[in-house]
Amino acid sequence: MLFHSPEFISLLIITILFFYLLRSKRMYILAVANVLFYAASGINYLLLFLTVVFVTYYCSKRLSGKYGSIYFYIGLMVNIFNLLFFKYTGFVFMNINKLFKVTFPWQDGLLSSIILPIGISFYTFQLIAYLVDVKNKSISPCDGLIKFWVFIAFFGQLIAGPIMRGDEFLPQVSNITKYNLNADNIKKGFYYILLGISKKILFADFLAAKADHYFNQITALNTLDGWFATYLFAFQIYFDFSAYSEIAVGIGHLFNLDLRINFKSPYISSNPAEFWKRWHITLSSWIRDYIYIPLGGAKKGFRKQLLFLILAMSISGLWHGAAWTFIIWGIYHGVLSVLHKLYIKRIKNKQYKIFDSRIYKVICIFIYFHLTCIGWVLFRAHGIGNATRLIWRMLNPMYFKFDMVYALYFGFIALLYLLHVLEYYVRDNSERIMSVWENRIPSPVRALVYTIILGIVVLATSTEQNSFIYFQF
Amino acid sequence: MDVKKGMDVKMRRIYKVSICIIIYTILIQIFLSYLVSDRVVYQYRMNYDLVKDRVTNIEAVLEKIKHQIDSQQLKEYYVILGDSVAFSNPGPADKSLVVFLEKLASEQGKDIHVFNLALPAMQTGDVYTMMLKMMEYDISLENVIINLTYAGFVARNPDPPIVFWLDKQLNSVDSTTYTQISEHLVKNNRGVEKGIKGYKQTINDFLYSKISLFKYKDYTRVWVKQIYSDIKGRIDMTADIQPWYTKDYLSEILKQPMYTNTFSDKPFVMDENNLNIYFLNKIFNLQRGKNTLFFLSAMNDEFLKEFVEKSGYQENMKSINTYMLEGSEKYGFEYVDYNGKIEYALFSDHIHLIPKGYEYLAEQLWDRVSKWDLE
Repeated sequence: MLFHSPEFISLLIITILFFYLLRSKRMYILAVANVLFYAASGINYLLLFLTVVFVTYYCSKRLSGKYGSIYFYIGLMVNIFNLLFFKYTGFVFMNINKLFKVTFPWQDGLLSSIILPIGISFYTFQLIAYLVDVKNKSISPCDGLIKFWVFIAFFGQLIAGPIMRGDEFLPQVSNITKYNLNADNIKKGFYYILLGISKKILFADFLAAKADHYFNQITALNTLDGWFATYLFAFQIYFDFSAYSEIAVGIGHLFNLDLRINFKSPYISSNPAEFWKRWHITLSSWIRDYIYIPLGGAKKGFRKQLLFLILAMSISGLWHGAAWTFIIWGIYHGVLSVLHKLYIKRIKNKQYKIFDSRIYKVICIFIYFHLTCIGWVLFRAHGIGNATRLIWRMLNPMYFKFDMVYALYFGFIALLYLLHVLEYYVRDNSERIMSVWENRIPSPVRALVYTIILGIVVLATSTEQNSFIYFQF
Repeated sequence: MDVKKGMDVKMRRIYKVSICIIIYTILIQIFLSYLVSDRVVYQYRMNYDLVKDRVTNIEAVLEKIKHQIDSQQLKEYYVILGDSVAFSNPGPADKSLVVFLEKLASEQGKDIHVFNLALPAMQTGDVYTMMLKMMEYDISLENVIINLTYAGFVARNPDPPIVFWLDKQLNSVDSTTYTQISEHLVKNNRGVEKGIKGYKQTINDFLYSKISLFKYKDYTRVWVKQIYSDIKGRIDMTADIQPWYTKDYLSEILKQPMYTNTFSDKPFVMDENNLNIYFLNKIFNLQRGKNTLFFLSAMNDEFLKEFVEKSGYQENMKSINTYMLEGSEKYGFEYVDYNGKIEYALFSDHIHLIPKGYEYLAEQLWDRVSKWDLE
């Protein structure tokens, strides 16, 4: 069920109505909405999801007991196995086949029967985080299965995050019956939903067609084409993924649930550390808290820290997809993080004056944005061969050809970047802008603007609704 | 207290904005159809590409035609129904039956409108459904021209579905008839979906047939593109339509089963077990006492010699003509079989005509329908 599909919108409206009409039954209403939402993708996957949720819940209740460690590992293994089986079986077989030149007679039958359940990567990480947090006594085990189901499977964010933690989301779910309809939440809810839908339909879907066009003919691209294609994809994936997260945040607000913002204008980052605090924030912090720090983080010496960084980023890459391109993408970002750490240690700590200047910051942003774009080639291209071919063309002056039409193309990219910066400015000054917007602009004018935006969104929606990129993860 | 007061003010603002949005939405609902250019929605015939991709787009066409009838207070108008022949394929819209018929009328000093609601691949079930849709929009069925084809009477195996395009519409305008043929539709992957798909379809159909913003969505997109291409400078992409004998590939295409089946010489079932007859009888009943002309589209006998010379084919043709002539006596409609009455050079393939052919067909039709008392 896509957020901009009529069936989802009707489910949302009905759930909101019941949610505010039947205060004491809110938990059940959300639980049923979650079931209906997930059931639309297939009853079998719903049953699988319910089973994993139940096992995790049951294990979490027994973590403080005599066999707590055993229950912890059972819970952990069930989740990891569920993810590995559905997401990586094909990848494992493909590599065994290639490496040992063997194929198993039963493998095709097995692989064709495995279809990736939607949202599995997200809900698995949320369940693992909960289990670890309960084990570490950061949170108490959830005191009700229905509540736990609402916490894990909230239909607003189930499929593509944000990945919520027990300490921030469970208390909100526990207090669900206490909230009243709140003007600020209604405004925020509609603001984020409208922002997300506009990003998806007006930008992401539009850019997708253009980016696909270029990525489908990599060998015909010259240097500027290659960069143009990569910029297009960089903005496509940003608009697409941040759109989903923002709609999720908006839906959360309509139920008085505060979901974490997942994207904060990532392309204005000047270094890897900043980038991962702006891009897919809940995944980055998950990787940090449940992989990088448990591995040892910065506590086991500088060299090991660098190694852990690369390892954590490789796992992040593998999480995104069962393909070598994703793993290499993860390693690439790990290496960038390592190089940045080395740079800080060797050069930046010398405190040259230039490091505090605005021009230095702009240069860093420019360089890091382009390094990120090179990474997106690995993410988007079909296979390592295509990815390296395109990167080679982007970096090799031999393929450079200029035509005035590129001025138009790159002008368009500059416009997209400007919008990105504008979004940062609006987010940073949201209180002030909202105050001016509400106090100086009359209601009929504001309403007219909202209606026009809604109208444009409806008109721009393509006949075939495009899925969100991160649904495949 | 201040927080509560502040919240009240905020809620009041939300109510105000919501009310304004509702008002604007109602205004869009009422006025959008007047804003979208008529020529984008309907110009001499429906926009095939838009209707084939989303059948609910016929609603905008019917609404526009109704507006035109009301705003111009039209009393004298004809409606053409049928398949690709009535649609005037493969020629452009400005060289279609409507244009030629209106030209003939104006040459006789008559200001008469002709509306074409035919669509390629339309079957008799679609024609019947379209007639019920016209009634829903209060578009007159008083003067109607309907084209029939030999292929329409051929046994369905199970394809083509007797309602090719308007299956969901049939369900909403005549659920009894829909139920009676639903088994046949299901076999042809048509009909109303069930479960979550059905729910999704119901919502979509509601939005795209009742809510103006959705109803005119595809047309608005085309309109915007047209404005853009007008600014950029439009390139005329229409090519001349050539006669059949200049196209060597046609004979190869004709060997495909989907074509050979349409000239089947197996004896026709001429009772209501044949779904074509079932719907024709329904149409006869609808048109009782109204000006109606059924015409059987001519086949290109020269090109289809090996098929049309078969005795079974000839017998079938006789059966069609007998059935239609008996019907015309009983229900009072007119019927004409154009087989053998159109020059071979006027065909663009086995059944369709070149623009000159449609001009000739229009003359033939005009000879008959111009005699009707339109009041």
